[in-house]
Amino acid sequence: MRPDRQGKSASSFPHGFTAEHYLRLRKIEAIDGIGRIGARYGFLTVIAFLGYSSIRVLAGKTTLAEIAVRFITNIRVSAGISYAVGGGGVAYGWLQKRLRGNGIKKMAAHIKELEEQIDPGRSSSGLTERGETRPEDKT
Amino acid sequence: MNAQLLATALYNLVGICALWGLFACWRNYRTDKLRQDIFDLRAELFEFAASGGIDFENRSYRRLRMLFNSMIRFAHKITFGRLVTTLALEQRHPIFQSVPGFPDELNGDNLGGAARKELWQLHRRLMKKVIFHILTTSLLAVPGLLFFFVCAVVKRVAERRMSDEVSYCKRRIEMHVRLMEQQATEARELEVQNQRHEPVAACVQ
Repeated sequence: MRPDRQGKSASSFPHGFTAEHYLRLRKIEAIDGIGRIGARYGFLTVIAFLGYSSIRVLAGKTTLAEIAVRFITNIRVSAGISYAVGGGGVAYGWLQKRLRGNGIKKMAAHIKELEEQIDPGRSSSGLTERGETRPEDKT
Repeated sequence: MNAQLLATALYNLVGICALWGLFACWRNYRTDKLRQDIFDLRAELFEFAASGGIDFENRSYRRLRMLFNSMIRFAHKITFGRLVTTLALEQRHPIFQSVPGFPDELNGDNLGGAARKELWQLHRRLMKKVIFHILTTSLLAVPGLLFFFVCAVVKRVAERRMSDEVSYCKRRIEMHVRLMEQQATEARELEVQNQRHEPVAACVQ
């Protein structure tokens, strides 16, 4: 029996897993997490760099107020409507999601109670009461 | 560059950020959808057992239910990046292939034909939903899959074995999805072991 970093023996892992499997899982988790965080912050960095580079070109030649005015006047009515519809759609989706979460919160306990009458050993998915990812499970 | 061009550039950057935000919303939606689909599969399994199709204490029933629970909980971690990472590490040094998956355990269980078929089909549907989820939540998944398919075909042509490329690729992808299932199950069981004395009151689903 090979002990892992926490001093557990190989036999304490379920379904024939060993410390080596456990280590591999952590490695996959780390690589995937680094990749996702890298992509997220890499994207933000590129956007920030492009924005900064654009502004730097005109440093001393144009005032920020002039740029802001041009930016606002650049938004045509048709584009403004598109933004409003897109933003409204996102807000609508978010409100629907919240409503669904409230419904889950109300119904899940009831379903659990009924199912446990038939199967007392019923197991749970472990999500929060609103059916969302538990904070400690987020990378 | 004048102020007008700069304003246009900034305008476009804001648009790109908005698209990025929209994609994040899409991914969250797909995760919720996958969870809901697996909840439906779990309910089907429960109803099958409640109607007397299989005993609630049966090993395969318990295992499949636990698998559903694990996939529901870790649905947000089922990503193309994770699949590729698993695939790459397993290619170099395979260790998970020796661990039996659910179909292997189902074969070892002495169940009746109808129950075995039902459980096998539920598991099969889970696999399809997971593959569909991966394909629809990553911009790289479809091109990556095509690249993988082309590489596999070229490799097999070079080896003069043109018989069943599609089923060969399908088998490999399914095997790697199964590895992800094992990861979810493992992570969950370890946590159950660790938290056996600390029940979480908020988990009701």
